[in-house]
Amino acid sequence: MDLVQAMALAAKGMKAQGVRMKVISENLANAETTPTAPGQDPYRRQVVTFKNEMDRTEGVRHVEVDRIQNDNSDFLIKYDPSHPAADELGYIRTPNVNSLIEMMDMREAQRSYEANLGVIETSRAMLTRMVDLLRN
Amino acid sequence: MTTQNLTLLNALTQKMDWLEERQKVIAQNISNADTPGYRPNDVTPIDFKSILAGSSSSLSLGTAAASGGGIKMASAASGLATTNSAHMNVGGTSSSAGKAAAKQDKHPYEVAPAGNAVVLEEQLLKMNENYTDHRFITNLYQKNIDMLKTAIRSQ
Repeated sequence: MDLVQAMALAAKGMKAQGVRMKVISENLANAETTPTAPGQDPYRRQVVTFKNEMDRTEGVRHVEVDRIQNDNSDFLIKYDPSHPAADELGYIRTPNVNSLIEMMDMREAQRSYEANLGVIETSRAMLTRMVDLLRN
Repeated sequence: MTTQNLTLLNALTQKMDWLEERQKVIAQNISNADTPGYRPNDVTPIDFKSILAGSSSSLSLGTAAASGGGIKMASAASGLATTNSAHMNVGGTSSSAGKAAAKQDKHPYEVAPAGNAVVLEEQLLKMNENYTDHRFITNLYQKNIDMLKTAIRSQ
């Protein structure tokens, strides 16, 4: 049943990358979310961290989403006196989302996702060959 | 007679077990490719001597290797001795000899700042190698069965 376990492991990995994609799209979608009144905080970037968990019944360490937490780096400051949330000097605070970083994160998530998909395909091919041995 | 008595088929089955185990370990590595602090594992290479020793007692090669073996031999053939053909094989030849233990990879290509040492390319390469081996072994198995069939049919 090792091959089935291999597929289950890869599926877990894909699920984790899926959560990561969700967080990345959340960040990208909110990259321009500014506050509506002075003194309010804009959208804060979220980061996802992974951990591995020992599955004692199977004896394998599958990946799990550890937690989704805030990125506590500083907000960006932009000069826009006409904005409703601008302070008395005309500055607003914008989210600490760098779309370039998010795009790179997205690529990485995609790469990992594809690698996991490859594992499933290979495991399935191996399994099929084993079944074929029984067939003829 | 079952296929269990055939040395070659037995050895091939063990190799298939090993390959499946390795596939599982590689899947674990790839799914943890972004986990901080994770170090990739790999299975220990299969020991030809142990397969030889564990596969068949009637084979003269097997006994010769077993006498010259040593500690490894003893651990491989640690199962109960089968003195009667009705005895079931418990834990000895087929399960322990071919069973591979997952070991942490001591020399990874590189380690990321987060402590993760999984390189996707390396793992995919290993997986492909594993798959090719598996195809090879299943083909061999198939050919052997076909050979047996030929021997049975032609009278």
